[in-house]
This record gives sequence, structure tokens and C-alpha cells, in this order.
Amino acid sequence: MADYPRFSQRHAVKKWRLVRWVHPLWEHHPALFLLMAAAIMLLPVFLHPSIPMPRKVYSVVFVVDITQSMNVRDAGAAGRSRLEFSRAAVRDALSSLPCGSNASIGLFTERDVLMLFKPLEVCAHFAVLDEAAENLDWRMAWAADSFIAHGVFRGIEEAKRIGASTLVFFTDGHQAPPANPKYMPEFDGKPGEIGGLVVGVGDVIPQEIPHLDEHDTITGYWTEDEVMQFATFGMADVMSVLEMEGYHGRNAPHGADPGHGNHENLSALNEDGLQKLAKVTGLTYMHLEQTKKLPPALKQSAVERKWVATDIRPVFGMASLLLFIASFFMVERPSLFREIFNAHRLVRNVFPNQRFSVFHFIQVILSKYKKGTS
Amino acid sequence: MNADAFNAIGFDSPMVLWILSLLLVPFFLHGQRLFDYPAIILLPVDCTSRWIERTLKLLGIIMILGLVMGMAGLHLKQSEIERIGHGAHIMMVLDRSASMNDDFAGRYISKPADQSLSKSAVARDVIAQFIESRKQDLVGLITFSTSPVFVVPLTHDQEALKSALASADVKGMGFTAVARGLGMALDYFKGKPVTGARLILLVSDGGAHIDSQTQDQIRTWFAREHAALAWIYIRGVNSPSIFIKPEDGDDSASAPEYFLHEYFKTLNVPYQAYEAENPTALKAAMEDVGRMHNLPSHYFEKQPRRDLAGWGYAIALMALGLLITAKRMEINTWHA
Repeated sequence: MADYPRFSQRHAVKKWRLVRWVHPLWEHHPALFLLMAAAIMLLPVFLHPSIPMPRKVYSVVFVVDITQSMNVRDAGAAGRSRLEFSRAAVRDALSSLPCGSNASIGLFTERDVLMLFKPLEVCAHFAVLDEAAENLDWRMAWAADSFIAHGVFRGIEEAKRIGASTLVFFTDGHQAPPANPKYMPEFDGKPGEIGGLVVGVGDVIPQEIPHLDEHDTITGYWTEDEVMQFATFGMADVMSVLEMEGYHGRNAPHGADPGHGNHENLSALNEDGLQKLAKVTGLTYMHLEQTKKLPPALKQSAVERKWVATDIRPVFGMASLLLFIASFFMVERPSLFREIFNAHRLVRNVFPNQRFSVFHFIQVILSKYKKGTS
Repeated sequence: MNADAFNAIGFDSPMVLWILSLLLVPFFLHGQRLFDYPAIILLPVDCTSRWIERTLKLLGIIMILGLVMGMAGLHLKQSEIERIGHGAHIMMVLDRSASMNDDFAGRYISKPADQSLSKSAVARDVIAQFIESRKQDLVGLITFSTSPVFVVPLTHDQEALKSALASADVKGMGFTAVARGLGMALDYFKGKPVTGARLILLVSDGGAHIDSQTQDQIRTWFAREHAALAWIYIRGVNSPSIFIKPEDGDDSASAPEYFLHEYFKTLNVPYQAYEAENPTALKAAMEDVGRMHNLPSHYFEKQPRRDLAGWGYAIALMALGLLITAKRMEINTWHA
């Protein structure tokens, strides 16, 4: 290797023929070339370029059962009231929804669902949504009955009406007064058309339903005599003679002592009933024991894709930055490592029988750098 | 930079800030053309060269900083500036009982196309216009029928209010829980600092009997919360007037509206009552309420979020321009 090449940038750049063809500037002043390329890359940024990109958003209707059985304090680890726990879960879910999602809040009592507002964008209207959820109260109930199946079906109808895709229905499944299984409402929607969750709150062990005063202090409990123990509506089944004691087809279709041992004054989370309801409607049932479990479950249900104009300035910014950084490595001088490598190869060729360590050369060349450069 | 200013800025994608580690590059590399020179140690230290070198380094750092700020989406967060203007904190208590679905003549509306003529629809329409014209007010909404329902807290969020008003149309339910609606509105003010004139605006088409115990309670609450009351009574053709004593004496069951009005007068707080017999009167009443309650009050003006990313990019481009100029001035050969 008599003609050991001068350590020049030309040498390093030689293999990038294609790039070299782009501009003679690249060959002679690669650093300047890169700086100018960086500047040109940055120019489109000032035109505010954006392209529509799909973003995952949700459109959720939260409906909370506000009947009195929701006042039972057996939800979550701390034994909060079922309603308080549901409120906290709604607020957690609201803050977890990505911007661009819509949410609305509704109340359920009796057979009906009352929506507080049309769906609102969660980020712009977070304060209102959050405070509305915080203010859900059992005193807003316009009737004391709770026909859960009607409520869920109405919830689905309302969600459809206001254009939401997901329903999240918080309830303990406690039906009051008891319903006659022969006269249950039929679901006439399409199962699964509205996705979402039936969220069971509370514990499966029956508890007494409290009476609350104006400060939400428990002043007593509903007694067996105060609540309806059996369904009075509708015609009875045909029963055996033994069971028919006290039976009257019109006046007492439920027999003589139908409520015996029913304990309708106690309330427990009715998981079976809610599971059945979920199955009929195409919703998913979940027993919520921690409020933070709700957002991930919610995100598994319905997702909508919304095309959002997305700022793509960072793409140009990044390209410009990379070019700029590259310019630092493209100075017109031999690369340190290439110099070591070349020198090592040269010496090895000249003295093929001698063993040279690369580290030896590093030492030599570093001393040269210290001397010869600023 | 104090803590407030620090909280006021935000980044869309803070993860991008990790790119700032690239600042190490201009610190350790200079990116200038090098020449072999045997013994630089013999040359005197040139201050100008030192400063040029530092300036170039600084420009490189500014360039990277600007770019990263731009890419991370630097912005001034949406903020609220406290101002003192004229307005009020208005808690609307809106009747949505079944009778609100009739028209002003008291007829039941059977055709869905005529729903916009119902008292409820007209009232909601007028309220929406009122809200729109009063940007400095804080407005909240409670609706009531058999029970009061807390809908929207006091807010400037006009879109949320309108959405709530639009949603209140669905259907009214029977009876009228005026007292509990007022109680809920007063309860909302409880424990909050008084930063503006408080007004409870009751819009209903009927009254209800309030028992004396509840009357006393509400009177206490009104006094405690320093709230004024205005009642816009939407009077149908066949409904009794609230200003005329019914002929059959003091039976509050037959004409509860008159007695409700009489009771409100004893509240010892500023109180006005309006009878609106048609949409125009309703509108006039709302406007009058607005005029009467235009008192100095604190309110918060939203400053929209300001995008600073553009400035980041601009600064980066400027630094880059200077660096290019410097590069152009770089010598190509070394004459010792």
C-alpha cells in the first residue's frame, strides 16, 4: 500500500455515490449541505401541515341507578355506599377517556332513564361532566320503584337516541317491588347494537337498606313490613292442590302467604339477574370492586375511530433535527475510528509478521489529535 | 420563572423532550473543518476565536432546543383571568312537569310537529337566548318535577348548558316539587365564597303548596346564602294569576300560585315575580331579570391555549440560518 490515501472526507463519502450525485455541494461541503437541507426541511413547518389521522375515541352514556337500595354501604373495599362508589367510578372513567370522546350522564329510577344532557366532549366540558357526576344523589329519584330490566332497555334506547355507542349501567340489580317473572319486558332492540357494560356494584351478601336523613346519616333501616314482599301483578301459575291453599285466581293469585321468607327488605348484588340482562342485550356484565378497574374494561368495549386533523410539524422537525445532528459528524476531517482502522491495517500490511494491538494506535493517534487540532 | 408561570406551560407530547439529550452533541462536537497543524500550542490564545466558537455552540444548542420545543408541542395552557364585570351567578330552577308540555293556551299538544310551541320548548328557547346574551354570568341548571334533578353546576360553559336544556325536553313528569328544587339550588351555594350577586331564577308554570316547616327552612337558607329570587310564572290561559287573591279565600290548595307568591314576598330577600302569558312576555321577563341583576361580580375569562410550537420552530430556523452563514464563511484551506 504505497499510495496510502490521504485522510479526506472524499474517501469516506465515496461509497455514497447516489447521494453524491444529488449535489456537488455534498461532495465538497457535506456539513454545509446538511445544514441547508435541515433548513429546507424546516420550511414546511410554517405552513402548519396536518393530515387526518384516525384516533380512538369513545362515546359513552353513563347511567346510574339512584334508587334507595343503592344506599347500602357495601361497595368497594372501604364499604362505601353503592351510589357513592358508582359516582367515583363514573368520575374515574370520565378522566380516563381520551379527548375527542363524548360522554353523557343519566339517572335511573322506576322504569325510566333521564339523561342530564346530550353527549358532551369530555375534555372541553370536563368540569361540568365531573361536577354533574359528583352531584348524583338518591334524592333526585322521582319514584322509589326500580324495574331494572326496563331501566337497562331504556338506557339502550336513550344511548341510541342521542347517538352514543356505549352504555355503562351502574346498578345493584335489586328489583323493587318484586317482579312477576311471567311479565318481564321483552328486549326489542338488536343485541350488541349498543355495546358496553352492566356494572354490578355492592356485595352479594344481603344487607339492610338504610333510611337516610338530610345529611346522609343512617337513621334506620327498611323493615320487612315496609316493603312489598312479592309480585302482585299478573295471573298466577297453575299449581298443585297442596300449594293452592289460599289461592284465588283473581284476588290472590300468589296464594295465601306468598311473601313468606322473601326478605325483600334486604338487598344484595343480584349477579344472576344482571348477567341474564347483559346476555339478552349484548352488554358485558362486570362486578366492579375497585373503581380503577372500570376504565380498562370500558376501553375493551366499543371503540370508534374519528378522523382528527393531526399536526405533522414534528415529522419535519425531526427530519431537520437529524440532518442537523448529522452535520456535526460530517466535518471535513478523517473520522477518528477510520483513521485508527486504516493506520492499523497499513502497519499490519507493512509488517505482516508483527502483532499490533489497535489500542496502540489509539494512543498514537490521540496524541496526534492533541497536538494538531484546536 | 415563578411557579405559576411554570404551571402555565405544557407540552402535548412530553416524551419528545427526551430528544433534548442530543444537546450533548454540540457540547462535545464542534462540527468545524479541521486542518493538520503541527503545534498549535505555539500560537497565542485568540479571544475572538474562543467567542466565535462559543457562539456557534450556543447557536447549535438554541437550534436543538427550539426544534424540540416545537416538536414536543410547547404551549401556554388555557388559563382563566379573574375579571370584575357586571353579571350574576344564576341558578336556574326549571319546571319540567307534565303541564309544561302544553301550549300557552293550555292545550295538550298532540302533533309532534307542534312540540316547539309547548311552554317547555319556548321557555328553553328563551333561556338559551338569555344565556347566550350574558357571557359574564355564571349559570347553573336544576330541573324539577316530582323531584329536583341537579343538571349543570354554575359554569361559563354555554355549550354544556345548551346541551342540558336541549336534553330537558324529553318529557315532563307529574307534580311539582318547587320547594325541593329551591332547596337544592340554595344548597349548591352553601359553603362557597360569595364572589358575585346570587340569583335563583325559578321558571315554572305552576306553584305548589309548601308546608310551613319547609317554608321556614327555605327562608333561613335564602338569608344565609344571600341569594335573590326571581320567579317567572308561565301563566296559561286558564291558570290563576299570582297577583290576584282568589275569591274562595285562603285555601292554598285551589290556587297555590298566589300563596307561593305571597310566601316569596316574606323571604326578606330581593324578589321579583313576572307573569308570562305568551312567549314575548316570557322573553321580556327574562330580559328584565337580566337588567335587574347586572351587578358587579367576579368572573373568569377564559384565555384560550396559546401554541408556542411555532415560535420554537422559528427560533430554530433563525439559529440554523446563522449557523449556515457561519459555515459559508468557513475557510477551505489553511494558510499558516
